[in-house]
Amino acid sequence: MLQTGPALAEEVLERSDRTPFWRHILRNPGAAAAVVVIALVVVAAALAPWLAPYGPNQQNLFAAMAAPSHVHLLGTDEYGRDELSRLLFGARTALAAAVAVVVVSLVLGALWGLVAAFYGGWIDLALMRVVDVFMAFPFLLLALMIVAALGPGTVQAIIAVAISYTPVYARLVRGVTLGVKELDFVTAARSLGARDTWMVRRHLVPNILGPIIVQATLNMGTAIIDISGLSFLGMGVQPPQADWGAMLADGQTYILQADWLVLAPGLSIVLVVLAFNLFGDGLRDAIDPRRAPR
Amino acid sequence: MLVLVARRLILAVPVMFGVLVFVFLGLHLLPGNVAQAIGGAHATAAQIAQITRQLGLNRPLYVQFWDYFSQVVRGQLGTSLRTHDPVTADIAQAFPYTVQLTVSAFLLASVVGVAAGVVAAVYRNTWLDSGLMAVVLVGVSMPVFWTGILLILVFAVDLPWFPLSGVLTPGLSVGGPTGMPVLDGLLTANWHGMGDAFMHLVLPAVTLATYTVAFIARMTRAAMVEVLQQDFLRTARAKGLPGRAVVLRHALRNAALPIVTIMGIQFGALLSGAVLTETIFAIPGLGRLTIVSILFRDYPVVQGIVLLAALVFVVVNLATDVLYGVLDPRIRYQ
Repeated sequence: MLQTGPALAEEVLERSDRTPFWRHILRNPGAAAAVVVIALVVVAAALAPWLAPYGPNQQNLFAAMAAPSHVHLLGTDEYGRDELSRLLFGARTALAAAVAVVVVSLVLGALWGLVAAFYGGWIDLALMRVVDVFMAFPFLLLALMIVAALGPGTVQAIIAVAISYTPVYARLVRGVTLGVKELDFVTAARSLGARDTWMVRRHLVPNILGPIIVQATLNMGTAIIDISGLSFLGMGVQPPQADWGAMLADGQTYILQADWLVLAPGLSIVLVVLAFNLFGDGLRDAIDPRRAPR
Repeated sequence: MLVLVARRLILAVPVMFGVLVFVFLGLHLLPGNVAQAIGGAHATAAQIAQITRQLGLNRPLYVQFWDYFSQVVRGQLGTSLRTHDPVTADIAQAFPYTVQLTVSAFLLASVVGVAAGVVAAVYRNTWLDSGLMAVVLVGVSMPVFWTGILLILVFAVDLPWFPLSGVLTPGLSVGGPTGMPVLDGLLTANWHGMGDAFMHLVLPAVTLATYTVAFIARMTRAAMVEVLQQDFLRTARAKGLPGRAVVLRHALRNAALPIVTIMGIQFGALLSGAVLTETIFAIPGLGRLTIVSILFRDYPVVQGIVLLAALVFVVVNLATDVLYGVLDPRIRYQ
């Protein structure tokens, strides 16, 4: 949970540490390793059509359920599709969907929080009560209800997860905005006639960027889990598109005969999510050294 | 204390009303004609018109909402489009399984999570702390569905210690007042049934608890590290209190507020995780009912479950707030 409000704003403003940001992260072995893993996965996803030994949907029923071998490094599934190729293409789905979720929820949430904090009064009250209502739903059930109304599919799953993440950003942005608004020099500047746009550009954006980047990085991990969770339930990415969650669900059917079908996609999800969590933690410590592990 | 409870209760009312509005609108305002969705792609115009009339979808929105509202307030959630039973009956049948799973996972997660967090904080910056926190980091990165499959693979397939799925061995039944097999077995002194139900519960409960254990452990460690550095604990140690009393009676009590907050929030996550866990282990609880209802476009049931889940969540949050008052007298007298 991130610290928000005046305390955070003060703390970030008071920071006198001028060590380059990236050096902070690279000094942290966990975060540095995470950067490497994320970079590798991004490259693998981008180059999937060239790296994958077979097409992601290329079937070979004669080689169905083949164990890992030099022909199929990670084996094949029930249709004889190459598991490694599907894994590489699945990385594209996972990363693209997670980025979409984070961007959509961030933009919606940031606008929501900004409007609430800026206008205050009953607008703030009303907007924040809506956030409370959204927060009252267990996340997956909210997402499932949205999917129930929109029908299953990748875009629907992205919308559902993004909507359920939006309140987090709304609260975060509102908290920091209120904090910045109350800082003495901002009050002074406003009383001298400074405009709102000046405050947003000069003070709000720099202060809010740190916590938002941390939250967005951590949400990349949770978004990958949640989108694959919906696909696992058959509510997200639809067959035959390669997706880690859907691959796991398929693999579970054949768990007694072919455990490689669940091991490869499961380990991929854990590895990528772990990397985003480590990177997010590293970023948070770099932005706010006082929160670094003691 | 009563004032605190009353105030929180009053605050919960608008939230629940908002939840009700949202659940209602979710069905009526989102794109896609509900009658068309229920009728299916091949429904004729006459069939769709009939469904529309049957569900009262041709009436003004506020009339429909008032109907829905007064129905829900009386504890009725409509009729399932799939089973044609009252939604409350379908939910009542599935709910005990979810309660059994969620509560056992919550208890497991709380005990193990807090214990691991306290140990890591007391032994901070030692190999024990680093080891525990590394395990915890992997734990928060494990999706529920992957943990479940992994546990099945190891403890049901490779080492056949636990059953693969279900809540009881087929053919066995444990009748009882609660509908929760383990508790019913205990209450009716049906030890064989209870043992069987317990063995079926272990893997799902551990699956569901894993993420929460890790999350609670992380937060407990952070809260305890903060408290352990404070002056009053130095005083407590200086006056000769034994280490255990210092940690458990003084430090943990002061670190309790953030830990309780996290536990309250995590309960919602457990309800979400239950959907996945029940799917993996074929448990006939609310999660499975949700998925089946979505696949059959059985909207009244989906609405009912979402409403119930939100209510449980709001009640848990209320309980968390009240617990604050118990733990911290300053909040009680504010």
